[in-house]
Amino acid sequence: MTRITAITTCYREGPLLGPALRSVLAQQGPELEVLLVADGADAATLAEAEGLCDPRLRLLRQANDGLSSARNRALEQARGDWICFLDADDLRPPWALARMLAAAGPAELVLCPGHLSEPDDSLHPFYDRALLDQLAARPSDDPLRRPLAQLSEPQSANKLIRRSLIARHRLRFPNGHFFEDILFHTLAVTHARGLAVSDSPGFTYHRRHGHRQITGGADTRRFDTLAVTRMTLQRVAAEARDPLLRLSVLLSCARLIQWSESVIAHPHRAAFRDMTVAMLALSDPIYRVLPALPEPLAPLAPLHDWLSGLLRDPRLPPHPQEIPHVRPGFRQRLWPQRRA
Amino acid sequence: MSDPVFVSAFGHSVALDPGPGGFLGADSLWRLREIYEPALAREALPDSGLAVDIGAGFGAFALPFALAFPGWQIRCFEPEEESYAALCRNIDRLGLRGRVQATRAAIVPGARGGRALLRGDREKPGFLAADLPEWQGTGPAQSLPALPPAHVAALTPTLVKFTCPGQEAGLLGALQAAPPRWLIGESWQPVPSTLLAPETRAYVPLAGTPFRLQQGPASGGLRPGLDVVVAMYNSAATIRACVASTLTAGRDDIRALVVDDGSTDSGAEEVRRAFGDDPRVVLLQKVNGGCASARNHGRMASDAAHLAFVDADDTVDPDFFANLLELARYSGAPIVQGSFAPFEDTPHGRLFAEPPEAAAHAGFPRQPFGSAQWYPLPWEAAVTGQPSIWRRVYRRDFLDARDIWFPEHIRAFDDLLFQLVSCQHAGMIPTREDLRYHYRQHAAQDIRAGDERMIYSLEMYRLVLRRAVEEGWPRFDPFAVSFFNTLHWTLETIRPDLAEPFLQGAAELWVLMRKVFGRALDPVDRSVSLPVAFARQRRETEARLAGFADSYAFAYLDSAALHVDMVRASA
Repeated sequence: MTRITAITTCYREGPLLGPALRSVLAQQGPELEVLLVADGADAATLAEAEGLCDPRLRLLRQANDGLSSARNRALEQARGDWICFLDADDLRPPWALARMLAAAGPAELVLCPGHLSEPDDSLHPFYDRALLDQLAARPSDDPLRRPLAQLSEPQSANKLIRRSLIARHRLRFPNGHFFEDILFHTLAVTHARGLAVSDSPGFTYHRRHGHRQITGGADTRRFDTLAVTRMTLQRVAAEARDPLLRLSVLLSCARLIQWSESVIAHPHRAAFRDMTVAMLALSDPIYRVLPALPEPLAPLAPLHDWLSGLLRDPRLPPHPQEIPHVRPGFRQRLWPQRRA
Repeated sequence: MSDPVFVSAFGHSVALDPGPGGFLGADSLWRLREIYEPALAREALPDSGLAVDIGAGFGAFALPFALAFPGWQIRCFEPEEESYAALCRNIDRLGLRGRVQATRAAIVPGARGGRALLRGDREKPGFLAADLPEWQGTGPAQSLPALPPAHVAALTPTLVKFTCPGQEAGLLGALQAAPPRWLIGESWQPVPSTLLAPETRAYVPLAGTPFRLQQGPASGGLRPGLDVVVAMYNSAATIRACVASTLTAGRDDIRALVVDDGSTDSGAEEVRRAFGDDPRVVLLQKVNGGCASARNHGRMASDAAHLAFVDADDTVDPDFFANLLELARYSGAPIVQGSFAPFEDTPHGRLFAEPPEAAAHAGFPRQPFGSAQWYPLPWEAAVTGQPSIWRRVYRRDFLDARDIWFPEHIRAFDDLLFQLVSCQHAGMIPTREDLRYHYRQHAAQDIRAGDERMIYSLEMYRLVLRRAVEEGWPRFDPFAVSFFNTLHWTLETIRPDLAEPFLQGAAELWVLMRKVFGRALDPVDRSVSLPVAFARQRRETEARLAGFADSYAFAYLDSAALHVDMVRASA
């Protein structure tokens, strides 16, 4: 009986793939199957995979169709009670999955802290360590646990998800898009019956000079953050009647969008801002009501202010229950540092 | 027995008796969480091996490690009596006696007769000194059992974890005889990175600094080391002194790549005569293509993880590059730099001017790096400063990943573009003021020629503008500051008949910059102090564009006035 299906997709990671896979195969404890989807992988990357001889490793090949498609393919093949993901250029310590499983109890979703390896080779707690510490310190019935989980980094290495949750809510990644994690993350956090946090770091995320992530660019792929945000808001519109959940979903999406806007090439900035507002116009009107920040989330105030500003854009129709403060003639600056 | 502390690491939680040292106990837990656990979380350790724990304390590292890696043997060394006793109790209570052995000893170079000295100050981690007759320490000293580092090397450990303040260099020196596969710990002195064996994976932060002991970027199959690219064109008189000064005695990982850019003098002969037998000096010859092409040629021929580019008529302080390479390795920064001192040759020898940036940089807080000092230079200060790409050491993978090259068609001041783009992407630049690059001033310098080549700088600022737009740079005002600085010093040297066309091109470019970045640039506008030709041209260009809204796309327009060959053609 397979306890955990560990999913990795690869493309052009070359020699980085071997250590990533070996770190999964070396997990102490639970019985594993490892699904590797070669998503149009190049010869050097395939050679790394084929150099590994382990009966637990299954290789699925497809022509390049994107990370989302590759992960979805693996989800269809997965047989484990639990599912986890690791990028092909990252690593897990050998105790990671055993500790997450030990923390799980009856929960359907287990989050774990991690480490960040910078290009200068320094090691740090991953970006969301403080949020996860806060989450772990709260009792299981605390209403802030789910919002805190939603606001943790929306990436996939930090979770262990029961397959029953994935099946019940048809959790999938958005085909054809980058920045796919925010959708899957939101669905998992929103629908999970029970959340748990592991006390041990469970992955090391690498930033490297020589190996720049596809999602690190300044090109039009950044617009995918808007597309994926839109679908995310659509998928949890019913649950978003809950103000705390809505607040956390909006803020986690806004953080991604704000980051993308700050790095996208200048030619696209005005359009990016326009499309952000357009995306909000297309979304359920409930999302135009931004709840106030509870005290424990006070560090997110700048992000909250930024999003409030966007939601006051005159092109957005006012929400029937609450008329936003529209300043006459006020228009969001379309292009930072530019006259409108 | 003291109250137990709960230690959670490597996937195991365990209650341990911390012994008496409250401060040292908290310190051990901090290191466990910040150093040992993150360092081992990214390593694939084999099923079995021998780990040595130097300065094991009550076992905060060794015991969770032993539980997490049940196939490993662990040897602990702890000199302090009560911590050693707590360690033994913890080993026994966990039933680990079969795999974890404790020895009551410090590891101290020069230890003889099993005795060392411990300073009396118990509030700080114990700095030990061997029982040498010249011991000059103050305060009460205490005798402790000690073993020399060779004792550890003789065990041929797979992994060494060390907490031995002040003894790190001696330990690593001894371990060269049997390099461990993994080395983790905190260091209180900057151990020379050359003591690290290439096969050792190290994570050793330097206490009180953001630095780490490391050999440099591990990826990309690059050779750990520095290649100093020397672009040589008719520099026979100076090349020997230049190359000799870049090398460091006893270091074969610092090489000079002399690129002879089609010299018509005896420079190449000079290099062969002076360094023909020296494997650290490589002579590359190519047809003439300009300084930029020579520097790029050297980079393409290099396999080193770090690069520098020096001019063939300059020299550097002794061990300038060895020291900068160490700063580059310890910081992992994309760029590190020394300072520079302009000099002129006089009949009485070199006459040095004051380092031009000394006053401007005096306010940056100095930080210790061993016995030396460094300061973090913000990239904006580097961008607005004098182009000085030659006093820096670059990470090769950084230059490649950011696609930063010298523009080959630009035949003067090609380092301006390189400087602006590399510093923009570098972020903070660790700087050592005490290491000086000697920058020769003479009448034949490009920047003093005053001919049409001055216009190359205008073309480069347009290239920077375009790149800023395409890469979405967060700020452009530092580049505008640099632009006006360049205009002002160019006007001091440019041939009088070229001043007007130069100013016209500059004014057109300034209008384009403002059409792209708008009023954000107004605070740095220094055009009022320029000759009237600038304002005249600016007004005319702005009038022609009055009907057009601002747009990033103005970065893509160009003018014949910004191109040297076109200005020459119309002269």
